[in-house]
Amino acid sequence: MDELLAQFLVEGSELVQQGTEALLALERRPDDRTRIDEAFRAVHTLKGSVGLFDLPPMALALHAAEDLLAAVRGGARAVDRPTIDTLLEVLDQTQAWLGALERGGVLPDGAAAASERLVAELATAATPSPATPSPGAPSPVAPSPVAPSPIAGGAAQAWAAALAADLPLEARAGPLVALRYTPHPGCYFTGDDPLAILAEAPGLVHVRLSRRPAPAADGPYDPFSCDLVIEAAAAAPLTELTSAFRFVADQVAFAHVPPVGLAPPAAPEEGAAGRTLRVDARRVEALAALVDELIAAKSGLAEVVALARSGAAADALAERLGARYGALDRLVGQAHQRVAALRMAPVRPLLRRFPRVVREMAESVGKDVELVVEGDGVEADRNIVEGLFEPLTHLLRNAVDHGVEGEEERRAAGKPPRAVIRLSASEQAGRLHIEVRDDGRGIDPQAIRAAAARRALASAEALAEMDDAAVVELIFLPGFSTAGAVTALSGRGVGMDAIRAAVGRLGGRVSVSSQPGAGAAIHLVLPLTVALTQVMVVSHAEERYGVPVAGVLETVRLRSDQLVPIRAGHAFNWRDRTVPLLALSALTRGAAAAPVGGQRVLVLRAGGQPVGLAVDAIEDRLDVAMRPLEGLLAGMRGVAGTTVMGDGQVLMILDPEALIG
Amino acid sequence: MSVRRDGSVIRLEGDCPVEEAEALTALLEADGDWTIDVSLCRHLHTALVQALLRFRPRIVGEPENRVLRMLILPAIRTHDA
Repeated sequence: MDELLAQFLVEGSELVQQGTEALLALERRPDDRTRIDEAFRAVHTLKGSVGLFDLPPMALALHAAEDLLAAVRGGARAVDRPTIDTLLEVLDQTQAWLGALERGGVLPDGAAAASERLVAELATAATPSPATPSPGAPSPVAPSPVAPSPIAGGAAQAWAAALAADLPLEARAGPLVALRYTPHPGCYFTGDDPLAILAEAPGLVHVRLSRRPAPAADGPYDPFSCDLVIEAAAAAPLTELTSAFRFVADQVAFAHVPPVGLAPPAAPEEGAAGRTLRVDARRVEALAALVDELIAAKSGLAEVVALARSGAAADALAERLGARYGALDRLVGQAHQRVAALRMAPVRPLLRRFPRVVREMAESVGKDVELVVEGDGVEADRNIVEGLFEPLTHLLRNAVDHGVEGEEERRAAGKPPRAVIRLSASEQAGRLHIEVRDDGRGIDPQAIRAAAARRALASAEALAEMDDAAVVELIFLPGFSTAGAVTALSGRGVGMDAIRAAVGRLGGRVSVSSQPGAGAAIHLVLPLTVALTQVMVVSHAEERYGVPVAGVLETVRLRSDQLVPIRAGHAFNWRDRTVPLLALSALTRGAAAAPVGGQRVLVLRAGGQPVGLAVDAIEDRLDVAMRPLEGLLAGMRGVAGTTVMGDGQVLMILDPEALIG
Repeated sequence: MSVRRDGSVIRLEGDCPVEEAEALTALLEADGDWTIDVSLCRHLHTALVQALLRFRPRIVGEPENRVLRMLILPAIRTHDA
């Protein structure tokens, strides 16, 4: 790729992000001059950079956005919601175009049409209309009068990202099209049945329904005024979908949902093609200095080689070699550490993706929510940072949906009408701490008790003995948070067990604290770096365990005639040695199940000697983040740690040395 | 009749057209711990789905209509605004 273009792609994403942040802040404080200047600068710089390349559609849209911001800056117009929406759409589209440039080097088909549409929208936004919706009102689906490109804003659309985050992973193996259908309020009278239209769409995999906030919340419910927002994901070509909605085309927006793995394109690190690592220049310089030292150390070795050739005495050679070895050892150790540091990524870009997502979530449920993000300078392993997007999306959705109250309920409780959710990251004692804290209604322990009792997750006696803090932790139990429980509870719990499993896979823990009436906080504690251990998952007598691969010499299948009874036990021949054979269940439960042959056997090294461990099956080989034992289990002999499997089950990882020795 | 009250159970049966939204809303607005049975429902007009979202009664039954069973009902059940 052209070096200039490569640099522009990196900087472009950064500028889009800066512009987006400034616009979101402006929405809260429309007269903040600094923010207006920031937004203007970001768009101005983007436009200037685009001018270096032959990308007319991108240049046109950004130019129009710059004009609009210049008008805002000059005081010629106020900043209202539609203006912000349109400007954000330009930045979304710019980000989508940057992604296309990174993948294929050219703008996608239809870029010109999309650009024209944006320019037209910016022109509309620039002439204040009398019917400007008040802030907080749902933004209407942008009508697309002239030959519209059906994909508005591309995959960067935040509602599409929020919808995608709702999808089960298996549904996201292939590319999907997300759609958002906002039927006219009067559509029932004109004979429309929006869900019947939706049902005709090919390849539907997921549907999400929400209600637009009513303009007058206290009026009686009007069953014939449509207030639905229908979002869906379909595995079908866009052309077939647009055709299914051709009679209501002005009420539907589409967006592509890339398959999992390429997920939201907002972060520059996640380019699909040729992943680029952004690394602090100082770290590269430190590495270069280290390499210089390594070269010097190598020359030092050459001197020892010359000495050896000249027939120097062995002890003199050994002394020199020992000194050189010490120097090399130190340098290689440093190199290892510094290269590991390159794997560290700042948490901030991940966090910065959420204000946009939360804005959409809040809008879809008609609440006024501000997301405050804190966590400058915190770093963690890239795998951990990337693995946090999905669980954090779910946690924020929970906070928006269940945690914070609507405006009226907040006023009634004497709280400021705008809810605040705080997403913070910090490093404490070598661990990454992430917290999602809302100032909502908190979690009602009584409701949790009732739900847990109803679902028989704990006995009445056990529940009676638990204090409120322990009761609130029950939301993490699998089976607690099926959809039925959530609605009945009006509490949290959308997939809290799934969140715990996802965080567990990264080697972390989740906990919750709540103060009824004042809010709730979910706290994640994760390792800063991932130490992955390769384990074999073995099963025996219906139990599953992990055995670290490092301790396994070989796996063999024993015929019964290879078994040799020795006193009370058994042994077998392995590489001309007689090796004792133990059954896994005998070790873990003390059950004296005799090996019968025909089994799989792991040959392990224990106490310097090979030992056979009979199992029923070797199920899998996995790289896992192993967590040390804690609490009651901490002293358990023979278990090195635990990990959470993909299905949410906890797998004990054995320490054969301690178990057998 | 496609919206039929049976004690504390409201049965939605066969084709439930838009006009039924009013009857369903009237029932749901009345006090009571309603259970909606959709086992025999073939088609549920959007206006009725909207009423179910608004009043959030308990919903039981597995209708034959695939889109209704697999996509719409789960969406109603997970709706939590």
